[in-house]
Amino acid sequence: MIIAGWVVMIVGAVVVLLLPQVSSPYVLFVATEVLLYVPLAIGQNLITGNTGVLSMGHAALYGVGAYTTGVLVSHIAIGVPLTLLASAGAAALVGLGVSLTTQRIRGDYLFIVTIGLNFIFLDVVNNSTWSGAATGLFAIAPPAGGLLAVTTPARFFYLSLGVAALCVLISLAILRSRFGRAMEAVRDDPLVAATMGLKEVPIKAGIFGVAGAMAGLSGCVLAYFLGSVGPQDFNSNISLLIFEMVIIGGLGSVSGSVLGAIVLIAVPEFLRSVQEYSLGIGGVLIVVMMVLRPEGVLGSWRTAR
Amino acid sequence: MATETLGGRLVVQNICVNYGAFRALDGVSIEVAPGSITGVIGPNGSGKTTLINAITGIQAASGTIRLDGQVLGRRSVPRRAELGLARTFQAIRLFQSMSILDNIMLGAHRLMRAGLFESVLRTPRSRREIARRRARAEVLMSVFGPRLLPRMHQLAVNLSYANRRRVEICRAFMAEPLLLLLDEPMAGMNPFETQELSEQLPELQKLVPTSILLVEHKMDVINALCSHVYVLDHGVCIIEGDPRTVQSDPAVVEAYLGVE
Ligand SMILES: Nc1ncnc2c1ncn2[C@@H]1O[C@H](COP(=O)(O)OP(=O)(O)OP(=O)(O)O)[C@@H](O)[C@H]1O
Ligand SMILES: [Mg+2]
Repeated sequence: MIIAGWVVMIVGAVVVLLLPQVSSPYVLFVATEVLLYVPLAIGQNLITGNTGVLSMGHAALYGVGAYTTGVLVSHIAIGVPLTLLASAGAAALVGLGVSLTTQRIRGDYLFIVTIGLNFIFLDVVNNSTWSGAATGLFAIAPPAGGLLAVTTPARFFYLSLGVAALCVLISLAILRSRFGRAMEAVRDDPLVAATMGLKEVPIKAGIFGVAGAMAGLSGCVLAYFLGSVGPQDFNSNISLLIFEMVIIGGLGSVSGSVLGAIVLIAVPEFLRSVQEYSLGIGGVLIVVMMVLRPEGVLGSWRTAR
Repeated sequence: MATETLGGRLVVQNICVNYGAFRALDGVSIEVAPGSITGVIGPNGSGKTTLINAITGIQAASGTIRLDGQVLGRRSVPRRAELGLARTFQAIRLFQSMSILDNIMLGAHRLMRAGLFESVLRTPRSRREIARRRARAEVLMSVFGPRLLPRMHQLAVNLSYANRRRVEICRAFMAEPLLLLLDEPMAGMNPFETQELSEQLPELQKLVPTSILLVEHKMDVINALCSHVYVLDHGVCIIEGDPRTVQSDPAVVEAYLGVE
């Protein structure tokens, strides 16, 4: 069994690495899109699946990352590595801020409040000149010949793959450490966790920071990938889509996050005729899942209460 | 391991707790001597759990609470845990999604020195620390014979009631607290299990030197374990002393009338 698992992983890795050589440009485009959503789904899952915080504003963190890159690139000559760092940092700070300002709000109430986060973000970028208002920012391109210069579809694919893989590794490392248990303790029973010395507020803020950084990385790559950023890319539908990925893939499961991104991005893309309905497909899947397998396809956290 | 100058002295002076207009504790003063097992008894609704909640900071209270001279005051629940308070709950509260071992290991949170980065990167130091605590957890579990050890990777929710209690008790001892507050640890156990636990508690206390405040309904448990006991009734401490004297007191007999 273990050997079979390794064989599957190695074959999978080889296929993924060779994808730009063997696939059509269209397949590569879709694969890159999936990879862009992996850090988003992973971050959302750390927040919701592992720490139990119902947050519905992930697109805003994604947008902060993308706009950070957009604004930086249109003002100064700056390379890809620095914009990655800046976008991750900016989105991490916003994530931290959101968590700290909403620390007294729990459960369903937080869900509603964080829906508002999407609208606040859109209001800000729609009404500011630095963000290009409703039209957004254009001509976002990396300097030629710079480090990580993303200029070809294959390079975009590898950059997204690198970012996604980094987020998978970070997430696994956190969850396997005692801090993974600490997050889950806060999720299962915050009061008991407190009697053990676990402080809910910094734990949640830290996770929002990490998830924000991951969303910021994705946002940065997206800005280069599209060559532009606009308000339409970060509305509440995107937040809902990310949320659905986690529910379908499996709360608390890193591989589930990856699966959720594949199911909700690649499947509708390849079934072109239904692409407009990807949110709705997600909704139907969720209803079916809630009946058949409430913990998600690869989920580990089963609410036993 | 053992604290040379034995710590864990709890001094509670004149604490009051109100739930709205209802006064659940009305000027209660108690003391737990270092290394002792001190009992608290009283009929249902007399304020025993409220007392534990006030000491651990879950319930706001007026009056003063001191642990080894330090006033707990407005310290938060986690801060008090860091100072060395640990507790169990009358209605068992385990982390439902976790194994027995993970539940118990979390008890040691306040003792862990490896920080976030060390733990996430699994540095040798953090791995050694985890291994050490894990060995400790196994020692504590072994006090319960084969009850927990062979099942330590199972989900805590799948255990029998008595075993879940044992896990909760191990988790609390894992913190190596200065003061351990046990809220009716024998509740729901049969006479045999109760007898067992009253032998195992001193054994655990030998492994982890700590003072214990024991809330318990069963008189024979109090008799066997406690040198000193307080009797609460309607939020007031009506008498204190050694268990046998206290039990024959007419006020206690009256408070317990129809209960025991
Ligand atoms: N959160 C609360 N709000 C209002 N009243 C409460 C609350 N918690 C406890 N009480 C009341 O305070 C009184 C003391 O309750 P407490 O739980 O401390 O009693 P106890 O001695 O632990 O009883 P038992 O033996 O049943 O566990 C009871 O009358 C109870 O109904
Ligand atoms: Mg009680």
